[in-house]
Amino acid sequence: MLEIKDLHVSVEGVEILKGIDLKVKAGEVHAIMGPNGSGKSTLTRVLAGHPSYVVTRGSATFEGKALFQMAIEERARQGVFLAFQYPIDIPGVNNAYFLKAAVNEMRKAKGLEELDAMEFLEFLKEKMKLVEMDESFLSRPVNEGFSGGEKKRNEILQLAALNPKLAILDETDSGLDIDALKIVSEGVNRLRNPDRSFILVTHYQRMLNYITPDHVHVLMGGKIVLSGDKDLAFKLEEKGYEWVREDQGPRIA
Amino acid sequence: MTDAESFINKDYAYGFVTPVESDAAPRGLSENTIRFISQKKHEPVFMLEWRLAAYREWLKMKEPDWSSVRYPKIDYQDIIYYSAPKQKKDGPQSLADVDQEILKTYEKLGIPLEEQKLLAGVAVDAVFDSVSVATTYKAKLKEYGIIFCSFSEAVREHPELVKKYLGSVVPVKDNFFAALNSAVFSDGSFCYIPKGVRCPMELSTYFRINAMDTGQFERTLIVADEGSFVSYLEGCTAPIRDKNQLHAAVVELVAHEKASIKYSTVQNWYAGDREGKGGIYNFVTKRGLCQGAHSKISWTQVETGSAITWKYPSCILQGDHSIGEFYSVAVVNNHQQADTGTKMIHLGRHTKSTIISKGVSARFGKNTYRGLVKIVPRAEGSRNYTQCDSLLMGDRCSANTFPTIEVNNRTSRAEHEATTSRINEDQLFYCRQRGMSAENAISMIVHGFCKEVFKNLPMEFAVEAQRLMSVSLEGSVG
Amino acid sequence: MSKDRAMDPYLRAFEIVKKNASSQPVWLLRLREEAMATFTQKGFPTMKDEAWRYTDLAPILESSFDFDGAIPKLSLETLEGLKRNSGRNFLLVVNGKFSREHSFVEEGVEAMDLADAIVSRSDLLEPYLGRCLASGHDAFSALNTGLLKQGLYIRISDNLIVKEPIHIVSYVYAARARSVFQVRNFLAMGKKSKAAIVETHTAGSGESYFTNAVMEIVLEEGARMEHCKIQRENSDAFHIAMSHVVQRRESSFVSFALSTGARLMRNDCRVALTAEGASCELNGLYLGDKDQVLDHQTLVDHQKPDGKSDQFFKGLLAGNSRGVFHGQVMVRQDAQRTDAHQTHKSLLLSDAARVNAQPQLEILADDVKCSHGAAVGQLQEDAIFYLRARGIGEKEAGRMLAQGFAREVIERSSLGFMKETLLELVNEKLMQQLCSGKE
Repeated sequence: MLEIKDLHVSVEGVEILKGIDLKVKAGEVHAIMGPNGSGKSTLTRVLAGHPSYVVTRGSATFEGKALFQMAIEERARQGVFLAFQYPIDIPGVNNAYFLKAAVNEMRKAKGLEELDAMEFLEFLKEKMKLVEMDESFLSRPVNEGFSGGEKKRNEILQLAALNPKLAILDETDSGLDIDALKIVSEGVNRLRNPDRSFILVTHYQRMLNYITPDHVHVLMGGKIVLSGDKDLAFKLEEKGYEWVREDQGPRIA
Repeated sequence: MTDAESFINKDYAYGFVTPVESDAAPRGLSENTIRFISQKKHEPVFMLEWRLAAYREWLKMKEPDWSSVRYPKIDYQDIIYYSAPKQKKDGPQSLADVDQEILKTYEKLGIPLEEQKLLAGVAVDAVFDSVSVATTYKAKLKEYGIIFCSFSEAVREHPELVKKYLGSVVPVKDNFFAALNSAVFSDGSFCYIPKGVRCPMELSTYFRINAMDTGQFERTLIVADEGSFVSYLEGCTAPIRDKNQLHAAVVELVAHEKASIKYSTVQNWYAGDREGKGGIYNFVTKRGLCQGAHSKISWTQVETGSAITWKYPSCILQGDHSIGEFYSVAVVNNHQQADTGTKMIHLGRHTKSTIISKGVSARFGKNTYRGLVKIVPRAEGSRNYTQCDSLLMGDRCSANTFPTIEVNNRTSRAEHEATTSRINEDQLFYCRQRGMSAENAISMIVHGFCKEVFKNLPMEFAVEAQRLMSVSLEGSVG
Repeated sequence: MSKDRAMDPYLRAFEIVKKNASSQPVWLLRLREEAMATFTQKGFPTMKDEAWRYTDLAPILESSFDFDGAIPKLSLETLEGLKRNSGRNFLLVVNGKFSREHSFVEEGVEAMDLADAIVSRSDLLEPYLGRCLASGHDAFSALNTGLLKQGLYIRISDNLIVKEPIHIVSYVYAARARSVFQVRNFLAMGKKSKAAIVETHTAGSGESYFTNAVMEIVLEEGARMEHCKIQRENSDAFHIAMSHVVQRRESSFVSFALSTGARLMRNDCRVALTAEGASCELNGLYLGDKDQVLDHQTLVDHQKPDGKSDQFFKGLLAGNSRGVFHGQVMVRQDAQRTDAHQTHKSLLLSDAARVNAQPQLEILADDVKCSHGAAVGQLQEDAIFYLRARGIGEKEAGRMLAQGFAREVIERSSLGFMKETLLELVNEKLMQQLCSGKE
């Protein structure tokens, strides 16, 4: 589904990613872990097309198509979804309006009829149960005045509504208390299916207690230095990133 | 801002010309022109004299030189001051008498004049060039004692009201364009709400400039007697012409004790083309007098059209505890210039005013907020709150904020806050990550930015205003 | 007295200056002539001029002022008073004339009479003197330039870090009523140098007078200046001051203007950020009572990218006093990524006090973050009630709250070293305000 080859990325002239290779097949869940500043968020944002990042080398294909050739919204319409670490608020634009516009863009891209207001509400109600959100959310401005947990649940709600092929979750677990983490994780688990892949980016292993990944990668110094199965996450939790650093020392330098 | 470069430039949808024969005054301005207009309208003598006095004042005045607005000199002798569609009789008595072409025009503009087709609950006075061609729901309003008619009719049928209020809020000598309007105004709407009546429907006037080289000088007067309420809306469009056309209107509002007037404007005069050629000069004087205690005047404007807009809908808060409000969205794209804002003059005790102004500038657009909040010594316990925000799109546009605050007693408070920033890249990214095009994302963010103002518009028009704004921002960058 | 007649004595004075021109460099004479031409053309402003809408100059223009050449002899006691807190750097200007004998500075700081500098530092002064701001002279600064006779020249060389604040005290003693004094300071800070300047305007108990002060400051690349201006002229004085600051790349200017004196004051501070990454912080606090008019004007002109500016002004007005604030932020098309903010807040302590505020934003670049805010209000009744309920007298409660209001701008400013002095001066003035201000 997604294939990244030798990806180098810079921000304002500073190289952050220094050659990433990653292959994600349909239905797989990949966890990318790493200490702060290792380039995790950069990876997620560059996949979504954030204008601040410059791809200096390498490529990424999504379902065989060159990802970096596509505009931001084109990637979204093709099925790449990014759950933001810090979802931005958009004053004055209410959530339902925002979501309806987004859902209809996706439908248009697929050649489907747009939903009218009533149909959309029906459609959305069902999705809202998934993240235990109350209807009052819909009339509030996008993310404005939302608590950290509410913002993250809102991201998962959007994930459910937009039905992407590849969902990239950027530190969705950060800032969540244990109850919110459960709700979010269960939401994600219910959205897992053989056609949909996930990339979970996280600093801690705790989210992986609820969502079992097929593959775990460790990102350090702009490179994937170690890959393994779910046990790698436990090992990391136990031993910390220092252990990787020592173990993999020569490769990182 | 490469994000928005894919914007396409759509044409102004209201730019067509209606083929009607018109009956016009000769080009130019003199006492004879004024006599011609007055005679055409069968006005009583007092009206002609009032006009002539205004004309003589105007001759003594100098055209203002505004610091933030630039335009070539206007040749006042090259304007046609009166143009009316030819009529069989002296004025249409019913819709059946109105030229089919004109009816079609309004239909095309989305304002059908047959009552059964109208939006329920909205009465319309349709002004075509210099005259009112139709006023709907007159009979129904009459049952409530509400007078809603063309200004010409008011001069003939209700001279006592016209004499009493005309020029009482905006004196003839107020400014150059108000004096000009007083001399040559051709038509407009008049509205009187009697004591204690809550007007059961929205009243609205739809202004259309059709003929070439004409100026439009309409006059609107709304009087809300004690304890009454009215909500009024005006809309405006004009055909696409290469030459600039002048629109110099005067609007006067009077609110008596406990009366409330809500005045909304959706201004979409032709704005000129991408290179700044053509468009309407919209030089308008609007002022409301909160004469009685506990009266309220609320202005809401959405200004998307015109090559140049110069207007400051203001409130004179004379009655104790009176309230003035001003909500404004001004969008300038291409080479448009808008210099707009308000004056809140607090004369009465415990008067209150609120100003919310949102400016959006794109391409070469120039947006200026200019405001005055004045609290006189007598106006104890008065309050003002002002919020002015500007949004910039593209590095060739500009936004100025020029407020003046004068507080002359120690029990009053005035607060002003203003921000200027460019459209937020992260918001754009977020919207586009959810699949929206850059164009839709910008439009959505701008709507959000202006929401506080839109929510003050009557429901039917809020939708229209939002749509207009999207259209006017098309091609804003690139 | 007509506006034109008010100009006469100044025009006559210029004739004398011209006669004695032989000893001056040619460039200076040309500069003077240009300035006087500007003055003659503009004339004294009236309230019809937009920039002087709220400040009536009639008291200055109603009769003429004389140039008082006499320099008074200072008593030892007066001198000690002026020197207070001065440490190692003290520059005294008496009736506009630099007093070399009473001044001293630490090593590396170059300070001299401007008249001497015009001769010995001619090449350095020529490009700057009278030319610091693109917007040019207004009538008063033109007059100051045209009739420039003496003043103060300070230069801090490249990389020099001046250890202690430099105190510049401008002292006036008017032996005759309606004397006019011209004060002119020129400060040049070399690359990466750093200094703090404390400029105090004060007076002995003399007759009424008019101070027309101009200061030009040039900050070269990476220079950092802290500047504190204390205006405590006597209560019959007129104080018109114009400061022009030119900032180069990465330079920083932090200022604080405390204004408590003068019957009529106009303090105009114009800062031009002419290169990338320059930043400035302007703070101001004014306290008025009786018939005082305290007028602050600011202009921060962002000409190049990545500039930062922050303005924060507060006023407390009692008696019949009037406060005027006109603060302008200009962001030119080139000045992308500018961050500019401005706040003005004032409290009216009496029924007759008035304030006029005009915060202005002119933005021609798009990638900016700019804001301004202005608020006019009064002491909160709830707060007064709360304090009184705790047994504090009404007047004391008012004083405490007013002091708290004033303190915010002092605490907020980056001029930490002046905090105590400023607070002391504020308290002193507050006592006067609250006593006179019983309406």
